[in-house]
Amino acid sequence: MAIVAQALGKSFGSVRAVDDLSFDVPDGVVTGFLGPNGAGKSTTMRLMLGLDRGAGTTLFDGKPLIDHPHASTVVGTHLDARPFLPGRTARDHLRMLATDAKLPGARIDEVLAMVGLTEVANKRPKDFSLGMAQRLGLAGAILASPGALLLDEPANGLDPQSIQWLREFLRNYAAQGHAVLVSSHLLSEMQLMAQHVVVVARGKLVADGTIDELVSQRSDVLVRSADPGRLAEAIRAAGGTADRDGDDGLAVLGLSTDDVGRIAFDSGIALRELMQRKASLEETFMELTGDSQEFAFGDAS
Amino acid sequence: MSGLAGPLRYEWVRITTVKSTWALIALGALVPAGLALFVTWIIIASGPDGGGPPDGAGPGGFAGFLPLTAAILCTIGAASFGQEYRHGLIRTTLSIYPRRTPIFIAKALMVIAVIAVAAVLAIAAMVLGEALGNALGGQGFTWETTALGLPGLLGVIYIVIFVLMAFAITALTRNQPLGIILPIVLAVIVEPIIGAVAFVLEWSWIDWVLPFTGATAGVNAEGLEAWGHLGVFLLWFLVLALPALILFQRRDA
Repeated sequence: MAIVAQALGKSFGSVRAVDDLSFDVPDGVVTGFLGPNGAGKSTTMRLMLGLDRGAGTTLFDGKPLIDHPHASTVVGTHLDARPFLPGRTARDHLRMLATDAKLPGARIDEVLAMVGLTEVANKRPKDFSLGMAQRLGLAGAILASPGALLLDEPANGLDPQSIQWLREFLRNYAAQGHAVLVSSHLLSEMQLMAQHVVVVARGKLVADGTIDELVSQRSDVLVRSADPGRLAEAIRAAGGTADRDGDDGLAVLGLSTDDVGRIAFDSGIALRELMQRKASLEETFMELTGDSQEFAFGDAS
Repeated sequence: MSGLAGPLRYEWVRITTVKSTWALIALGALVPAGLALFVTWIIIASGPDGGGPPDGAGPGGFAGFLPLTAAILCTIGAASFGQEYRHGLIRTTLSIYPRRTPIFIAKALMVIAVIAVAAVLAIAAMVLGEALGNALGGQGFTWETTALGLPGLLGVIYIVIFVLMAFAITALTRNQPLGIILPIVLAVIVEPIIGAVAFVLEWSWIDWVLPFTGATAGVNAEGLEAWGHLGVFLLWFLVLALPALILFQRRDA
């Protein structure tokens, strides 16, 4: 159940919240959906589901969601922290969501047990903690065993054990051949949970790939030598780029440490330090989205 | 019709799994009957010797109590959309049922069904109240003779359309309190003022224009006139419901 989002667009007044956004959510892996506050993540998810009116299309298994006879078996969603009536019991809330796929009561009990809410199944969720509310939301999303999941900040309010449980659950769910798109601000958590990431800023796509790909694109080689000017010329002649990094250092892109070491040896330049610098996901994220922080308190997301 | 089956199941569970639905149905039946009995008790207690009203005075026909029942049940109609927007559930609803017209129609149909049952129960409670009132010595009840006939049917239709007005106003404005209050304010305050002005100006046609005044006149009328008034009432509902449906299809959830 791969998801293909094509040319999504949405404006709120003069603010372009989502701008010609296209990306795929592949089967079998958890896709992290990253971006600063107001980057357009939530709006994008609502556009994908047809909840917000805007430009573009999103195909679930090759068709828009509206063309599937039972949408709850196609995609499970959890978009709001407390998407339920405080006065309706947890079980009744799920009974309501089970109507599309005509699911039996046993499935509701099974899902409640899965998210650890069996004991409060017949209680009204008005007094649920944020973590319990998130679990109920997740229960609703997975109720009909959909081929895809769209979850907006599902880890908010969860304790560390619950976050670990969520991570393992989503990875297992994806591993069964499902597409899972999860937005989050918790970059360290996303680094553990997602294998593929889509990064947006100001409503535009700024990166799309595996975490390793993104991080390695922003990793470089630091080399310090007694003659950085001559070494830089040699590196450039070999096809790499070299920018000054400190008095005697160069930040090299496009070449490995082995390459740089060999160039320095061939050029007769003594080295003081040679090391691979690997960017973290957080550094990569900050670099990708660094100039979009003016949206940090916007309302588009 | 197959596209409606799922939304109708959804709406049935939605409307029957909140306590307020049952509480309002009970209140809609018991409050008017109880109020009429209370009036009867006061009349009996005061008595002719005590300077009270003459023999035969009492709460009169049941139609006078229909707006009270309708006003109580308005919350059920308004909650149909109001609860979903207030708690963000509308996004979950439309994720499961992305086709919006069947959801809108299912909500309206479920309101009609539930309110029709509630209205029948309310009128039955009024008839029982009559029996109790007469047993207590009341003489002013004329409910049984009227409520079980055509006026009873007209009363059910009146209540259903009254509540549908609350449904349509909430769907249009996404504002549940407004959906509950506006029909009541129109029926109890605004239209009587307009009616009084129209009376002075001798605009007798005004009853055919004002929705709530006309509907009340319809319940008390007979034959084509009765159906005509309720038809106008229904037309007012459609005037609100059609733009509400169009906006529901076009708006962000």
